[in-house]
Parts: sequence; structure tokens; C-alpha cells
Amino acid sequence: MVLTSSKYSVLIALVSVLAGLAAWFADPIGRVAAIVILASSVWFITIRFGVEKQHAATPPDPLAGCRAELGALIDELGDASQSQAKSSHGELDQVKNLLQEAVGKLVADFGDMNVHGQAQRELALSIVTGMTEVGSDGESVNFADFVRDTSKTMESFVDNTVATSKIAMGLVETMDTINREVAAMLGILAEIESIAKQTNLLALNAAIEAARAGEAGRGFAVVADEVRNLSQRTNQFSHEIRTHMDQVDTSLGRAHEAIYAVASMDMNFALQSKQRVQSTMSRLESINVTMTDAARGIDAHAEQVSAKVNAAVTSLQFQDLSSQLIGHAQIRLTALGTGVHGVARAFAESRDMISAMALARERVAALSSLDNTHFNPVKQESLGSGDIELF
Amino acid sequence: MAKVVLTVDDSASIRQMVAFTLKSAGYEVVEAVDGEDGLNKARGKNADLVLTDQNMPKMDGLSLIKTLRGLPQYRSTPILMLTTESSDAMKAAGKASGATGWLVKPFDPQKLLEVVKKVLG
Repeated sequence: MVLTSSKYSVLIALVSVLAGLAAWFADPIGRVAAIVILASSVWFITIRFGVEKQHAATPPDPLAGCRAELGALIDELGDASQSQAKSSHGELDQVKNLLQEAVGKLVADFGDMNVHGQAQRELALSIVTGMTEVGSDGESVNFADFVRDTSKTMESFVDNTVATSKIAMGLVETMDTINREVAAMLGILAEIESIAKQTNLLALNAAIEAARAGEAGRGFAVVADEVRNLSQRTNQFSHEIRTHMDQVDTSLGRAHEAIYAVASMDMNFALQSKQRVQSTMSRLESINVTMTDAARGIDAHAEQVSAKVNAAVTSLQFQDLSSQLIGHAQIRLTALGTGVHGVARAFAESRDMISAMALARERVAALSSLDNTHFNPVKQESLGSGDIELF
Repeated sequence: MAKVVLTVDDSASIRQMVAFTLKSAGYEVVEAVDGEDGLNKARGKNADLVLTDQNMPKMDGLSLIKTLRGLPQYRSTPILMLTTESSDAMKAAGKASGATGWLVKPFDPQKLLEVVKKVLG
């Protein structure tokens, strides 16, 4: 400003001299004009230098008397910034450690959750496949097959019972017929006995008549005797047959009673049993279906849990990203503390203001160029899973 | 026999997550806390796959890959980078040092398993 003003003044002085020379050789009007130019130049230069003098005269140094205090303040600022940076660094380390511990535990818990989820899925699947096991006979057994087999067995049992009852009823009729036949045979036997009795009587009469005839009836007496023997044997046989027939009759009576008891058994019980078995089996089947559906549901939910655990594991990696970001922020903080402290020390370490300023600028520049030497390793701004590239 | 995966990361939680993901799929997992540790463990046990972070103390991922590629037993072993770094320049550097692939964190366990299965054939 002073230099520019003096150049400006030299230029004006030169113009004034030229104006004076012109005035010397010029006419009176020109001389008057030259004198006016000369006067205004002198006035301008006076004003100009006057202002600068005024500038120089304004309060000489606003910091006068405070320089020592300012120096101490700068030193304090330097120390304070370094100590704050150190404390923040420590606190950030603490945050990193807390995060690491918490996330470590969370990952372990999620890991356990996944293990249990897997076990749950396996159990659910074993229920779905119907506890399929290969028996000693090499055949697989499952619940649905068991229900079907049991139902079939019960049905055939009830059917057999009903069929037996029907057969017994048929037998009762047959027994009645046999009984009637036996009674008829006993009647015929009585007839035979009566014939034998009459024959015996006739033989006796014949023997009497033969005795009366004397010698002539001797042959006839032998025949009559034989006829009598025959009738007695017939009677004896008839008695034996009757004894056997009586036994047959008694046995038939017992058999009839037993068959009648079987035939008159209440078939409603068997039919009701059949219905009960059928309804129980269909209930079991529906329970089986419900159980299978529930097991499938458990499996689906366990799969969901597994997927969510995976998502949680992805999200939990925020700790690694955050720790790296905190680490980078710590580098910045340390640089900031060191920078401010260095700038403050520059004034204390240098002998004059110019070298102090140069050193301070150098340290500020180092702070500003931190990003060129320490790159931020984390560019992620969200927790979506990262890109995968195979070379 | 279970395939062996070496996971190298200075973050304990990432190692834990990788281990739990791979172990649940039947792999054997060996953990290393930095590049140097990774190199020692790789020498001690022949890994079928190496999964490494980039930014780690002592030795970074790229240096580890370069060193491993110099060892005869790791000339053709798949090595995957699992890192927060996602710049094309870093990926190019990874490819140049011999990495098989580049996975940017955070990883999805399911996708990690798919990639591991793919590179292990």
C-alpha cells in the first residue's frame, strides 16, 4: 500500500514537473492551468501521505502487553489438545473393546442358536418321515402303515366273528334236524322192541303147540325155540342201540346248547367294536397328518431362524467396520492433537516470528495432507452384504 | 476328510463368524490373528483354502498372498481376500498378487459358503 502510494506520488510529481515546464513556455491561461495542476498534485500527495501517517499513528499494537499471556495460552492450547486427543483415543479404545466383547458373545450365542436350530430341523424331519426305521425283518415301519395294518387286522377279526356267528346259526338249524331224526329213530327202535316182544310171545305159543303135538311137533318145537332166541337177541340189540342212541341224544343236546349259545351271542358288540376301531384309526390318522404338518411347520420355522441368524451374523460385522472406522478416527484425533500441539510448540521453539510461522505452516500442512498417507479403509455406508468377485 | 480352511483376520469376531459358518458346513477351520501368524500356520498345516483380511498389523493380506504364492505347496491353493476394502485399485492389486477372489465385508454366511464350495471344487 505504501509502495503503491509512493509510485503513484512519483507519477503525479512527474506529471506536475511536465505541467510546470509546459506552463513556463505556455500562454497565461496555460500557466494558470499548470499552476492549478501543480497545486492539486501537491494537495493530493499531502493528503495521501497524511492518511498513511494517520494509519501508522493508529494504536501501535493491540496485543501489546498480552504477548506473554498469548504465548502461554497457545502453549496451553497445544497441551490441552494433545491431552484431549489422548483421552479420546483411550475412550475410543474402550468402545472398541466393549464392542468386540459384546459382539463376540452375540456371535457365540447365535452360533449356539444355529446348532440347536439344526438339531430341531433334524428332529422335525424324522417326524415327517414317520419315524422310518428298518425293522429286523428288513421292512420299514412308519406310523401310517401301522395304523393301516392295525385297522385291517381289526376289521378281519370282526368279520370273522360275524361269519362264525352266522355259521353257528346255520348249525343250530342242522342240530334241530338231527334231533328230530334221532327222535324218529328212537320211535322206530320202540317199534322193533315191540315186534321182538310179540315174536317172543308167538314163539312161546308155538313151543306150547309143538309140545301138544307130541312126537310130530318135535321139529317144530326146535324152530319155535330158535325163533324165540332170535326175538330175545333182537330185543337185546335194540336195548344196546337205545343206550347208544340215548348217549347220542345227550351229546347232541349239549352240542345244541353250545352252538345255540354261540349263535345267540350279541353281534352288536362286534359291530360296535368295528366302528370304534374304525373311528379310532381315522382319528389316529388325522393326528398323524396334524403331527406331520406341525413337524413340517417346525422345520420351516427352524429354517427361518437359521436364515435370520445368517442375517444377524452379517449385521454383527458392523463391529469390524466400526472398529476400523474408530481406528481411523483415532489416527485423525492423534494427528489433530499432535498438529495443534506442534503449531503451539513452533512458536516456543523458533527464535523469530518468520521461522515460527514457517514451522507452524509446515505442521498445519502435514495435518491437512493426512488423508494422502492414511486412507480410510471403510467405504461402506450400510450393512448390505458386500460384493464378491472371483478372478 | 474335512477340508481345512485358514482364516486370517485381526478381528476376533470376524474369525469367530467365519469359523462358525464354515464349521457348520463341515469344514475344519484354523484361525490366525495377522499376516505373520497366518504365514506360520499355513506353513505348519497345509490348508485347502486361505481366507484373509487386507488391513492387519505385522503383515497385510496382499503381502501374505504374495509370500504364500512363493511357497510350492500354495502355488495353486485358492486364496480369497475378505476385506472392507472395495476399491478397484485394491482389487487389481489383489489379482496381481495372486488372489483367487475378492469378498467385500460384511459377508453373508450363505454366500460365503457358496463361494468356498465353488473354489474348493
